[in-house]
Amino acid sequence: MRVFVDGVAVNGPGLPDWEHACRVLSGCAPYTAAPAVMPAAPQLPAGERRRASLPIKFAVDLAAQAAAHAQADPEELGVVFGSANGDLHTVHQICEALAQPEREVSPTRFHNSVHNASAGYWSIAVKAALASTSVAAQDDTFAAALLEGVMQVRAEGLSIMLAAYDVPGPPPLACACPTLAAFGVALVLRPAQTRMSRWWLEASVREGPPVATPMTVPELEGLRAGVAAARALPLLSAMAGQKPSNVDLAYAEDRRLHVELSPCA
Amino acid sequence: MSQVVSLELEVAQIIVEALNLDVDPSAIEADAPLYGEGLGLDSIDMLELSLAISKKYGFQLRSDDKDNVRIFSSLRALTEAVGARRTK
Repeated sequence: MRVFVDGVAVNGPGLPDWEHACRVLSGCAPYTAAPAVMPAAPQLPAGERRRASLPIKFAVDLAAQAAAHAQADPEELGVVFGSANGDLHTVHQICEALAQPEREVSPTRFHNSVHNASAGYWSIAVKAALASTSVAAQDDTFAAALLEGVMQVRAEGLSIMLAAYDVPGPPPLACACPTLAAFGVALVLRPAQTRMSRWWLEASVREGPPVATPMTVPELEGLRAGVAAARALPLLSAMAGQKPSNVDLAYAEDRRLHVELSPCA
Repeated sequence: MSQVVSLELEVAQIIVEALNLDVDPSAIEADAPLYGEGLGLDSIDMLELSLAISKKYGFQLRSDDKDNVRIFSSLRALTEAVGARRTK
């Protein structure tokens, strides 16, 4: 299933944007750890921005950066968002409210607690009326979201905004759903090559042990292993390398997502 | 009079804090509409505000209250409702 990648965005510790990440991932610049910068998400209308939680702003900003990189009209993109744990801070606050005698849950927090909140805020921000899909598959969330995005591109002929993101939550939920750091990635996928297409990729599900392509830099391998969304790092490295590559992403217990990637001519 | 004004400012502070508004509480006009134009609030904001008011003043502002349109019409109207119904 071949699709074209027109735009990419990344935000994570030591990888504040695609331009910098590209230099690090291609080996042209050393990796220096630094906390991910949390965006203000000016793309959101003021009323939505004051209600949006941190993971929502993080996801919306990634999608906006990828759309700009692809020079794509975000209104015309279908939406596939993936997050292993969604918004654990909001879930924590709701749990706290439910533990009080009054059991009064904030309507805004309830509104933000659903897994497709980020996709909804993004659709509002860019007035996107196409369908959105929000995926969660624990550590395999990026692979599942990528597969979903590629299938929608091929089956529906749609262009897709794919974003995967994870933000650490507070204890005790953080202990059950560990996330090393905030990390996110967004890709604009197209069914046909455009003047902005930078890479093509072909994804296929293969039987066998879920062996994933590791990162060679230890800090980046730690990030890949420590954040579900950062399972995208080997694919991003292949993109940064600007040469034909093969990447395997773990996908369920007995299979993997094999991705063949090449720069567009 | 000063008590009314201070309650009005207190309610304005609750509005700003509960809804994360980027406005100085003292700059909210007493008779300006809260909903739609003016502060630009919507139905979720009104639910959030009801929760904050009931926590602070000990009375329920329910979604089926026939006086809701009037109570939430302005800061002055909301302050009057708080003054009349508060239990704490």
